Amino acid sequence: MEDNRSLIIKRVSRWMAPFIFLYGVYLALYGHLSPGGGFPGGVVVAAAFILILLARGEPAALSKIPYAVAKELDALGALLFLGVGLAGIGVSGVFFANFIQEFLPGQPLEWFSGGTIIINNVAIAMKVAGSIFLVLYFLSVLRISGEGEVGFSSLEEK
Amino acid sequence: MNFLLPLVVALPLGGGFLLALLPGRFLKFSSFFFVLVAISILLSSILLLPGTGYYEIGGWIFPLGINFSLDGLSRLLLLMIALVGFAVSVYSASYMDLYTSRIRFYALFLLLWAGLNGTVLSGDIFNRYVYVEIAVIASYILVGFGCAPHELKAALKYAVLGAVASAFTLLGIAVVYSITGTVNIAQLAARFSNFTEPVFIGSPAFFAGFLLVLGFGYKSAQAPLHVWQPDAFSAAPASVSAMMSSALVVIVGIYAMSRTVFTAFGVVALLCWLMVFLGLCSVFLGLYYSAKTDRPRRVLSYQSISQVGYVLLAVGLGGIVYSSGESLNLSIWLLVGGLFHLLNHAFFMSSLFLALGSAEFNTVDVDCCDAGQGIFVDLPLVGCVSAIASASAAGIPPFAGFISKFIIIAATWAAGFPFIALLLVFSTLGALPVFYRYISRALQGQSPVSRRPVTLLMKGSLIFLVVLVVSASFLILPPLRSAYLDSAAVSLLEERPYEEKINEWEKIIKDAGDSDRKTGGIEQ
Amino acid sequence: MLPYILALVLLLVGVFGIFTRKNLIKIIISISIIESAVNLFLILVGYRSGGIAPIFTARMAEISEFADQAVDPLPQAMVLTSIVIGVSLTALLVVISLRLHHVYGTYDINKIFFARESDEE
Repeated sequence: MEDNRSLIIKRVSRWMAPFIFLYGVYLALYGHLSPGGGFPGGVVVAAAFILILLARGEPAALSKIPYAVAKELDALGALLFLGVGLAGIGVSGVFFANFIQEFLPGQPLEWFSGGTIIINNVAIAMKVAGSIFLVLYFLSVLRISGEGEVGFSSLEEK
Repeated sequence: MNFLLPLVVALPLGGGFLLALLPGRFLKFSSFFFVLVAISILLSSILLLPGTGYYEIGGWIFPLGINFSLDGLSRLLLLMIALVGFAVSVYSASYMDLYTSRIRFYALFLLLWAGLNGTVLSGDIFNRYVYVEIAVIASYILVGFGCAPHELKAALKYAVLGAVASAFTLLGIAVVYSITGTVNIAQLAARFSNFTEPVFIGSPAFFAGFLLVLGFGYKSAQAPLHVWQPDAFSAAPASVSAMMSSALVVIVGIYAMSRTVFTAFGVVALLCWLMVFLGLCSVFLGLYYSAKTDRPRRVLSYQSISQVGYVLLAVGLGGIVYSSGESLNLSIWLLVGGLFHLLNHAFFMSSLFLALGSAEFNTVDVDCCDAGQGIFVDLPLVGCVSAIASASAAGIPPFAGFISKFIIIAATWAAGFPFIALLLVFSTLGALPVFYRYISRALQGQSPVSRRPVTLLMKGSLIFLVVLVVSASFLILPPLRSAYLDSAAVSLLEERPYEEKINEWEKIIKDAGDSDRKTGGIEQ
Repeated sequence: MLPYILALVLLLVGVFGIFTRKNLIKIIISISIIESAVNLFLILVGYRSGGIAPIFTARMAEISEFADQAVDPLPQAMVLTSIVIGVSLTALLVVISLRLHHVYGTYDINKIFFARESDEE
């Protein structure tokens, strides 16, 4: 595919993407104190990769976040969230019990407060970042390849 | 024992995401792991059967937080999903040889299962909506799993209309929240029962109930809203059709609908009439179209619509009789008949779809299977299973299907609806030639060329299901009936769930509201 | 009252779009419009005039002061969930439409659903 993207877009996206990524991480980590949280944080993190995908093409994006990594991030985020819930059964005997809060309550309105909420936010951010990136990636791959059957099995090999 | 309740939802979710992590080459291991997860869900559902109660997730006290609740009806349906799901999982472990990327199928199937279990257990209408969406979105993908054009078209049709139905369901929930200030079902029951004026056409409560009944009615493929179902069931892999017809349609549609209309709203007669209308339409439209077609998948799909119609009709009539206050006993009998038919429908429909799937697996000749001529000639076991299941579905006397239909018809007659009872007798007789034709066509004529033998796993799950079809009759014997079916019907009709606890909380909230009338959604 | 009427209008625009448009992408956009209308209605249910966002910050001295001013947070949590569901549904629908576009070369539902059987090969 011919690369006719403008130099400015490529350059600026190279500068922007790390900051967008960082902002997403901030949103996820401070979600229990300020507007934001796992889902918006994850979407912003995914937006950083989607910017690279749109501005500099598929190989550049996949060098930053390989397909397999995104897929595993997706599943691991969900498993981490579930793991927090099951750990609640293990530690306090109640599903999704806030067991960190019980032992280390922290100071309200400080960063370390809210117990398992921080872990949950990180898990959701992982899941959302992985899956939103994958959705956009699939859409772009399906579009670029044009004619003919593009099964998901052909993506599996990448 | 108590921790099993969240585990029933957590197990399939965790299993699904673990399977999604596996790379494609661990095919044998993934099948093994999938069946293992299915067995563990089945075991925990069986262990949950004796008890009832609620579970506070995260330790948030009962009416305020998210909770799972288990009562007479939900424990029965949980076991039904687990039995059918177990048989279908064992079957899929070898049936899915027909398709590529099986691990994805396993993960999605477990997601569907988690959504169904969550729908049955969740104690508030919003979380129920979310679990319904989990199950339904997984089923959109599973319907189009083969990615052939006609499969994608069926999935698209199902998904587009399903998205609209979900949006209307959510609108109904929003209206319910705006008039009562809660979404917890037990609290809703208390607040609706405190309403002084009855629900009339044009009141916000009726509008909300109407939206909810139609939204869930779409997902249970009731007659005017059934357009997606025959296409979807013809296109999906046979195991998905079996799971959807026996569990998804019933749980996401009828269970969710009746829980809303009966438990939350407190048996609203108008909405029950709407349910009866939908049920009657689907009994006859399903019968008519199944008589018109020769293609086996479509015969079964339309028959499934018709049989689910009986359930909805019986449940709706039970609500009408209960709210008129004439005879509690009769309304319980109507509900028992409906619930019993629901269980029978789950068992015979899943075995019919799985038997048909084995014939398709055996030949791989799609055109021949589509015609339905002679597909069971070389497969005596599969033909036998189909014949028994069809006999139960058509309502031939010794089988459970006859008993449940007989209870529904007799109770309808006794409740003072002789016209509807006569219509039901007519439609029951009409189903006989449809099934006779289906079986006789499949057993006669040139058998298609056999390509691959039906495996032991598939045979095993067929036998398991046919044993369930036959032994379901024992459920109607008095000790079992009073222990399970009656308590399920009573829990749907009469119980205001956890009344004392809720009343305590209502009092606390009311006092707080009286002292300063400032708090948000409690003001009404 | 006006915001409620606007939410209703938005809902009707979406329903109108679904039943009149022939292009799959436009139908998917209509579904998104319906979902937005329902989300808007949910937000309106929990709104009080002059309310603040339901986030407790260090500037507030008392919980009761916060409860006096904040809007109802529960519908907002519901909207967040329903947005997530809407995103996944939209993504799924778009992927299915793209696959169909590969086969039929069009997004027109009349051409897709009433294509002759021989075209499907």
